[in-house]
Amino acid sequence: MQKVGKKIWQRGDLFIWWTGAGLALSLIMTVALLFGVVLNASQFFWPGEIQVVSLKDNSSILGMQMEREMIPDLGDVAKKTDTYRIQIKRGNRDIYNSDFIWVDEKDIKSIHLPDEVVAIERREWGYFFGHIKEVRDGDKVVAHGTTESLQAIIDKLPRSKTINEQIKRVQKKEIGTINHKMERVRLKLKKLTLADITTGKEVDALKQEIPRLQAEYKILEKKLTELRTSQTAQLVLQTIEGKEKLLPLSQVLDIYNPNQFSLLDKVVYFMRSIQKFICDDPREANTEGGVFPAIFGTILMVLIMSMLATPVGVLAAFYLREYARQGAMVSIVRIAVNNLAGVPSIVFGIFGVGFFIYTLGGSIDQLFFPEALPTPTFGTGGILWASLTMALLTVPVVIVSTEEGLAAVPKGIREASLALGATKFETTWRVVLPSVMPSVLTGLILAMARAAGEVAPLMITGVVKLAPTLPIDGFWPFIHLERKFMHLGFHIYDVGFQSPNVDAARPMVFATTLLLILMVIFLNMAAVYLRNRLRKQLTASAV
Amino acid sequence: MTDETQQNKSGPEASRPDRAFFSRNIVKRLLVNRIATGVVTSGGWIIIGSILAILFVIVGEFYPLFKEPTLTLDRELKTRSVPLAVGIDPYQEKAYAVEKDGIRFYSLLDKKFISQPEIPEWNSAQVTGVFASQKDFLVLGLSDGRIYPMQIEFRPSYDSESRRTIEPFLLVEDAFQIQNDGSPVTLLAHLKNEQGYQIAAQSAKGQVSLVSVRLRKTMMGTTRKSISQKTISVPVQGEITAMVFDEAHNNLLLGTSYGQIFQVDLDDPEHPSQLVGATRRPGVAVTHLGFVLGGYSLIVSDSDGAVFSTQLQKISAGKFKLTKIYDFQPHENQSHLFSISLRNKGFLTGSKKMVRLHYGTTGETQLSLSVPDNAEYKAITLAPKFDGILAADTTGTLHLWKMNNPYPQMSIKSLFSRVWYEGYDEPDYVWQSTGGSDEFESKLSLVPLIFGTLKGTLYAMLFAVPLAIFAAFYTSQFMDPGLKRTIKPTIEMMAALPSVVLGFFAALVIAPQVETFLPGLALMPFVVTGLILLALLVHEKVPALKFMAHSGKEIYLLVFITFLGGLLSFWMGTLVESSVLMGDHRIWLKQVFEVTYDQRNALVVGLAMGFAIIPIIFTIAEDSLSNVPGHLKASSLALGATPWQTALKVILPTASPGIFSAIMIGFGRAVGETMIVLMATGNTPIMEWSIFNGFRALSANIAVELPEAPEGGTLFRILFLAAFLLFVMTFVINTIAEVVRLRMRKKYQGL
Repeated sequence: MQKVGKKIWQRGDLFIWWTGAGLALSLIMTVALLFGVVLNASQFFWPGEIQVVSLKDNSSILGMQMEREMIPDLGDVAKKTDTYRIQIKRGNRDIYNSDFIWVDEKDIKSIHLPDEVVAIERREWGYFFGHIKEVRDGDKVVAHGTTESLQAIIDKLPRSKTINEQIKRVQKKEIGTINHKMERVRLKLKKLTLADITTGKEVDALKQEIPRLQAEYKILEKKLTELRTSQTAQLVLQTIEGKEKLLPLSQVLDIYNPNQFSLLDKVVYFMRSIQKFICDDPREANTEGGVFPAIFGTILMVLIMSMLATPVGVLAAFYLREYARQGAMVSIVRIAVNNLAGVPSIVFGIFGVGFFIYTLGGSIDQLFFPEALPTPTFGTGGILWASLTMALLTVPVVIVSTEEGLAAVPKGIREASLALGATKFETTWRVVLPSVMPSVLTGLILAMARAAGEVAPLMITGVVKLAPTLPIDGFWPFIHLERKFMHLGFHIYDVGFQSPNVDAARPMVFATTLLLILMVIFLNMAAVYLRNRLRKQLTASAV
Repeated sequence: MTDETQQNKSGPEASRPDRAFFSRNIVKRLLVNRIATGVVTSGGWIIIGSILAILFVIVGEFYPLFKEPTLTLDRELKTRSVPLAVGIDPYQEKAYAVEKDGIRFYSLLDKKFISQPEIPEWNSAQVTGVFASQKDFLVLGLSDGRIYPMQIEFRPSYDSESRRTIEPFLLVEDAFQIQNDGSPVTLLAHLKNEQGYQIAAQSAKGQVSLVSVRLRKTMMGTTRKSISQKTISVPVQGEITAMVFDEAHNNLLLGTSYGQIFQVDLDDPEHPSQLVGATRRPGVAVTHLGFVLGGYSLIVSDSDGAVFSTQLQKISAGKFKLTKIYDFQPHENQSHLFSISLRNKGFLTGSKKMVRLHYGTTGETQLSLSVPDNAEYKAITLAPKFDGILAADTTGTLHLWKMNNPYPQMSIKSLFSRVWYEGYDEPDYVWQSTGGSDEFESKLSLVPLIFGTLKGTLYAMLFAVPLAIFAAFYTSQFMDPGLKRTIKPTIEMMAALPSVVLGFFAALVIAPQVETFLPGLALMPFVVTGLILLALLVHEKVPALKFMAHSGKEIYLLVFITFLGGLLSFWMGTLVESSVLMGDHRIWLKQVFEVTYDQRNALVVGLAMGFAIIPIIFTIAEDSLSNVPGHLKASSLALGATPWQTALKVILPTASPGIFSAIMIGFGRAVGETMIVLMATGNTPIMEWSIFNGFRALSANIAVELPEAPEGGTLFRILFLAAFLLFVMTFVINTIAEVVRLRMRKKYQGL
């Protein structure tokens, strides 16, 4: 035994395995994180079952079980308690004030799954779990009891949704257009006032616009009222304690009985949740609904940033490799690139605030938008400044990747081209650039992945918790670069840490985290795949 | 000729363009080439320009913090007689002077006298003493033994074209008779607040008259006055030479010619007065007592010219002591003039020949004004917006200086050394940028933040460097090449994880788990080592099981062992906790080591930042280990060394510059990391090395405070300074790493 031990020691196997354990730990950490995120996020998408928890004091709680933890013993330090408690999401925030409740396991008499129960996803106040007493349409009672009502509502829901869509369109698009026009009139009038023109043909024409627009608004208002009054269906809800509540059908987003779901139903629900998550707008202070504006904002910012960073990065890389004479200049540029890569992201953010927002933005406001002052147009955070800041941050990534590609292009190709009489530019444009394109793309994708994940500089240059509109809409100039936007990474920070209802927000944050991780990993894998293909391509075409 | 040209147009030469076309085309092509060169060069310049721009913008924003304050003489005008006190409006257009025969208003803008308002029941008295508060509430002591409170208001009015005029108004209150024998009132003090005002005046030797006027608003909207007047006797050695009300403790503080400072409790004036402080030596009289903004720091001026700040500290129930905080630059003779700023802790002291501007928080004297030879200063005041000084001298001249001093509390000293703030027992490094009121003293020391950055980085490196180096070592030296192709991208995927995700995970998942399983975590290295030993022995002894760990593929078994070891150690940890650690490791830590355990602490941050840094260090270290020339490894093995010996004694030293460079770059990344630190620490700016409590880093501080900092204000500029520090730190670290890496490359070329 001793000899074996000595042999192992001398061979150094222990240390080899130790180092391997270091690698193993890193791998386990990575996998554990991904696993943890997926597990927690799936709670958000997969339909849970509604249970009835009957307590020993003869009361009952209706809801979904979320968590289970050990109760800490606050009094007696020596004992480790073996008691647990469960967290139940019972919804009905408007009735109970809190939609999550902890119940000690020792107080539970029994738990069973009721057959007849309903879960309603509402526009306000979150989920409702309970029973439906009846469905009314105006004064008539159309259905009784939970099962019948459920069917009746499922039948009525499509029409209700259509009317909701129409209402939303009238509000957002048509009334929105009128608001937009009125604001333009106000700004034009103010502009004329600043130029000391307070009377005259222009002023009169503008002033006449206002009552015209107001008349249009009144018509739309009437239309809205008509639409709203046409939604006559109502549900009479009943909680497990017997409390009743009236809910208009227009408030219902989705209704289902999770306890009656077959596996196929569950999968369908799962798919639908994913679709809602990606395509819907957020509700209830970002704790419910979807993250569509955040996805949109992230993608738009990444696109604008790429358009800015790629040309500069490619030019700089070409300069370093192809055009610069070896000497001090190249070293300086290289040092600059390395430092740009190493500078903390928050320093870029501060530079963005100091230079882009206050200096550039302030000047632009003074020159082009004086009528809107003191409300800043470009003198405050916005998607343009955020994209510029991120472009600065990710330029080194593009440069490094492009340089790598340029180094891999065989020298012989360039020399052959020059020998045949092409100018340097023609060689670059027609021979080198096409072969280095994959590297540029790789760099671009890596830059996009980095931009999707960085949050710190965005926090101070234009990302907000909730943006009322998207940066792209139907009004000229269609893309509004001064608007603030939402970002997936910031969404994680904000919903996870600054949410009014932490329990409700938790599954949402994990889902958003999963989405962001998937996005970033996908981009990185695409870059790796491109890089590998490029390597194969170039090694094959060895000149 | 025509034959030739015709010939040229047929056959294989027909496709060649003629010379004219060729020469035009080449000009265009060369021009395009030149333009392209310029464009590409500009790309390089843009990069240099960006880095320089970042540097300049950041330095430009914080540089004004350190500029010296300046004073320029703006104008002078003559008053009708020598004033005892002066005051000025916020826009520096109008001033008032309390002169012997009443109050006069002057226009500084037009440099002339405006008016002398009528004061009812003046009875041709003369002003013998005055106490003016900075808010322009005056109490005049008159020669016939009366005190006369009054308020001066500067009311702005705007005409149709928004031009502003300031109109001075005098609003008088009722006068009170203090000295029944008609002797003049020379020494007095007052305190005015929403409830009314109190006046103290010396009525005779050792006697002080207290007048208290309470204003109560009735429901009808009128104000009801209730007046009370009494005399208290304060037996002191020498004469009472200075008086001031202490609003915070409802006291009256008296300074004597002997040099002592007494405290009279106004809730119980009959109770004997307490001695709370004194000047440096007995016999040096107290010439002035005054509080700076906030009513906390008391400035004592004495007849030697010394000026020092003190704070009233409670020693025991009902007993107080004045603790000296700072000594300011003294005057040559006694200083008896005083004025405070209503915006910050700045104040003026004046002697006959000199006026000095001091700042209470830092103990610095910032500016000094001396008077022309034949005159002496009689009255001074600070302009309300802290942008000017108005002084009157014995020649009856009012001098107005404009001051540019926007950041009075800023200096290298206040940012990087200990400062004695109000309410603290000793000088300390504190970061507390905002508080509840306008009178809050901002505590802006960068030291806790720099400490926090270093602490976070250190713990992160402590966790990440061993793991990353081990992993790089194993991957480059002992791993099967096929497996390497899968493992390397996986670790690089770790680098792709956004830091906000890591921070969120750390704060919401890792922190609670670490809190529960801390003993298990501590046991893990030992348990895993034990398991490895066990596995090795089994592997050696039982040849049949050799399939488990082929050379180069041990990683599969190791993942299993590490995972198992982790679970085992967590389980053992709970056992250990309940048996040895009193059931809860937090309590045990508190009792045995006196260490508090915060859920979000440096350990959690270390783990999370490890996630972020490990892939960086791993990639570079693995690259440099793999780049060691193959013949070195081959020759070492050929000479009979084991793979471990080769790796440790041959490869590692050769690659050590690269590994060092990797660690430096990881260090640089850790210093600048923002989101993880923001979310996983408690963001508390404390200065403790304990791994179990939090910290606040420079980067997280910027992210948190910048949205709330008013543009161009002190906090705003300090945050730019913090960004500059981060920039410099990472610049230095990256440069060192780069230099080392270049040197290494040269070395390898030799091999």
